[in-house]
Amino acid sequence: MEEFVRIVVDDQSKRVRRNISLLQALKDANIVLPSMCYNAKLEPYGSCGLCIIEAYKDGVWRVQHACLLTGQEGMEIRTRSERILKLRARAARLLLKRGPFLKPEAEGFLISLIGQAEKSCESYPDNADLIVYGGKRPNVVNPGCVLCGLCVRICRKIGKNRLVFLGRGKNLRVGLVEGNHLDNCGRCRACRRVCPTGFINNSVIKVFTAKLYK
Amino acid sequence: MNMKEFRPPARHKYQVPASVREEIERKKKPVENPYKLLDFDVQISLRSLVEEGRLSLFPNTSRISVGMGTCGRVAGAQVIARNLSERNWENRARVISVGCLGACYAEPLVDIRTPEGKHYFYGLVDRGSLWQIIKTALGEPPSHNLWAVARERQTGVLRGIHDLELIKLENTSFRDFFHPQVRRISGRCGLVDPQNINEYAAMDGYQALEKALFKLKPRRVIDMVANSGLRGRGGAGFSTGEKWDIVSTNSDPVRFVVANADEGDPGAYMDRALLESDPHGVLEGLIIAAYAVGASRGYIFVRHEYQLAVQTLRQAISSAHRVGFLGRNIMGSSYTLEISIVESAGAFVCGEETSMLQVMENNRGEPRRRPPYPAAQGLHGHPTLINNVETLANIPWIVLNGAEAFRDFGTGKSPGTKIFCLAGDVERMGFIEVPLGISSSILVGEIGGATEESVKALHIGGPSGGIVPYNEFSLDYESVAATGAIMGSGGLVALGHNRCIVDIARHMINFMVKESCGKCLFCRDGLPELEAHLLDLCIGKAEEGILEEIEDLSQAIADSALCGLGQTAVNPVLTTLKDFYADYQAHIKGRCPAVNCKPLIDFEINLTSCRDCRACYLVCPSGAVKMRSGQDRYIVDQQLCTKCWACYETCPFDCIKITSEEFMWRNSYE
Repeated sequence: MEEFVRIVVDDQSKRVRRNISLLQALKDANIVLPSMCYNAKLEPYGSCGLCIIEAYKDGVWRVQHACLLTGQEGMEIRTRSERILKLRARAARLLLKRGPFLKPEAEGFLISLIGQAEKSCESYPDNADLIVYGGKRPNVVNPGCVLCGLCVRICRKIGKNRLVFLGRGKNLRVGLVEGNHLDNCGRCRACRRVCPTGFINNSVIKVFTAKLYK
Repeated sequence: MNMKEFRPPARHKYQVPASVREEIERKKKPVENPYKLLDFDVQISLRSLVEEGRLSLFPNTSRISVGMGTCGRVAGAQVIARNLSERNWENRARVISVGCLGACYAEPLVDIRTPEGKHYFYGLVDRGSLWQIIKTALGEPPSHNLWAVARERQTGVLRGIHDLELIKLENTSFRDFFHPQVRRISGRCGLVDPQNINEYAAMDGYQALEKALFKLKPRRVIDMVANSGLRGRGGAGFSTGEKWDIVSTNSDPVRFVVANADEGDPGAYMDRALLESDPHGVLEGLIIAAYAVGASRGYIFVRHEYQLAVQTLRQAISSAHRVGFLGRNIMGSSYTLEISIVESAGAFVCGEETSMLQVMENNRGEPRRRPPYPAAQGLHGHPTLINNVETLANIPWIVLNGAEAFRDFGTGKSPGTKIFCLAGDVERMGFIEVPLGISSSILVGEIGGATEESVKALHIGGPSGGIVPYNEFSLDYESVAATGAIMGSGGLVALGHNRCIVDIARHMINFMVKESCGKCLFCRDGLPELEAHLLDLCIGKAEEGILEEIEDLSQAIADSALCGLGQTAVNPVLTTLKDFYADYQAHIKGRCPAVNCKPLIDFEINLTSCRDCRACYLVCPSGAVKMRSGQDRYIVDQQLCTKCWACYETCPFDCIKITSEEFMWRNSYE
């Protein structure tokens, strides 16, 4: 038996499931929040920062990640306030700076998010380079990877556990642990299937060259 | 009937050498049972430890204690200690390495206790004063290099530095440094031998543990701590008694205690100083905490870089085991506790409590979302009490002296004392213990010895703290939070007028960029962008509107980062934007008010007071100072100048001027 709670979403009362991630619960209630690092079959991680919402607590509206929340009775949240749209656009800009992405739909999705907050951007998504990068691209370790951690989580879930995060901060990257038998990696292509940006496009071994000590 | 095996009699007699015969005889002998040690738990009473400790604390010979904390070692105390201990003293003196007394500016610091109970303090010891030390230790009257002489108020009673009274003062800085302080938990530091449990016991150590185990119920200990109003010294200031209460009322019988000694704040080292100088104080607090909440396992999470602290702590744990203060049936009671050390891998984020637990479970050190708080669901899902080292060091004092006495110092909401680490542009730096609520001017002005004019701002609480203008405000949790900074672990850096605020904010953000775990987007990618904006300001490439962008971005990071590290990482920027807005605006126009940002400053030579000594010309490494004939005899070539300040520091007549002008070209260009 599923348990349901009543919450207030954007001034409308909704009935959502309780014991799952709020992001998924809202999706079931036909309120789709944008996200890049969420997969219903994996545990939520909270990396991309697109699913942020405002939740009312102790007299203030606090910004929270919807994927890390669970529904509570009488909760009040806002998903499309101006502050949230602005923050989401900022997150989208930061994600776009990790580009260019191989999947054009990923880029289009992020640009449309910027467009929701700043109406001027909506009409010309082709000029992403000009809008976002301002002519110069930042120096990132693995261009094209948004470090959503989906590949790491799926690899752990299917029991191979080959992918890990290496480094921290600016140098964070996904690395492949090369065992004795490389053969047992690269066949299932689970990571390739979940990758939201198309960074893992061919062989995992070629994509993640683990440079532990740069 | 016991039948023997039949053997036919020997027909020949062979001669066997005597040595072989002996060996055969020896082998025929049955192996004697070796002496077997019976494993009786012999209870060593605390009183016998105290007596032994008193022998080494108050010996009939002189006792020379050399400060050998990390601060002393880097100042060269090892050479001093070696020179002193290699001397043949003919049983007239003993040389002992102790921890840090707190006066880190005076290291290497040597304290000589003569048999009649006088303490002679020698600061900034070098080879020149070795002979004075030897003469003092041998009982001759001291001549010079002496800093202070103190006497034990009652000879043979020394529980902390408060039992000493000054009788002679040669260097006034010593009194100014120690006089406003209240040394409760760090009083033993620098006087007790950290590797000797007997001395700690002789200084009223482990009395609190005995009292807690045999006279108080766990519930009573928790009530005492709650009544004292002690707040966590790690930074957030959560009530310690409340936290203990949450853990002890949990229905899960498996509970853990963890002492958090993973301090990574630049400029804060109170945990290290406590662990190096007085490890048993922390250990005793941890045992009492574990007893109060009913934990059976304790951990100390120490920073990997603190090798001396780890070494001292291991020694302390093993000696506590040896006398039965740890392990099975502590002090003969029915309580059992094991404590082990976990070394952190050296990341700043691992000091955050949830990521610390992740590291202890052999995972990647990433913070997780709270709630559930570790007090309800911590290590391996069991309730875990996590306390800072300084908090734990307060516990024995509270148990021994009562909750009411604890409130003698401090304010109503934040009672007790707090250790601060004073550094930066002050004359006397070191780790100091003062009552909470003390005025900042006493701290920086009296103890630190800085004048009102020389300090521009205070940086409180490490990289997640804030930079606030140096005004008179009281240092307790609420007042510091009202200024915009946080108390943090208590690092306090005074910034002089020659420090550029924007550059320091950039430096702090740079630190956080390197130390962010990289899990959530805003902390990982937002902070580098913020750092790039601040760098633009420092090199004079910023444009109008950048301040709004910086503020907007900082607010976004503070709002939506996942853990406390990311949310507070932008505090230096937010506080300086509020209080030093003019500095930021000047940087947009190309002027650095503190003449610190290299691309924005110029060096000029004022020839009116020049005496042609050519010092600037000779010292310049890049040949930028040029000699010419005519009116301008010396000029600085701005193309070649590397802004190394060498000419400025060399010039004996103060002819070199550093200027920072607003951009002319930008106005004309626009």
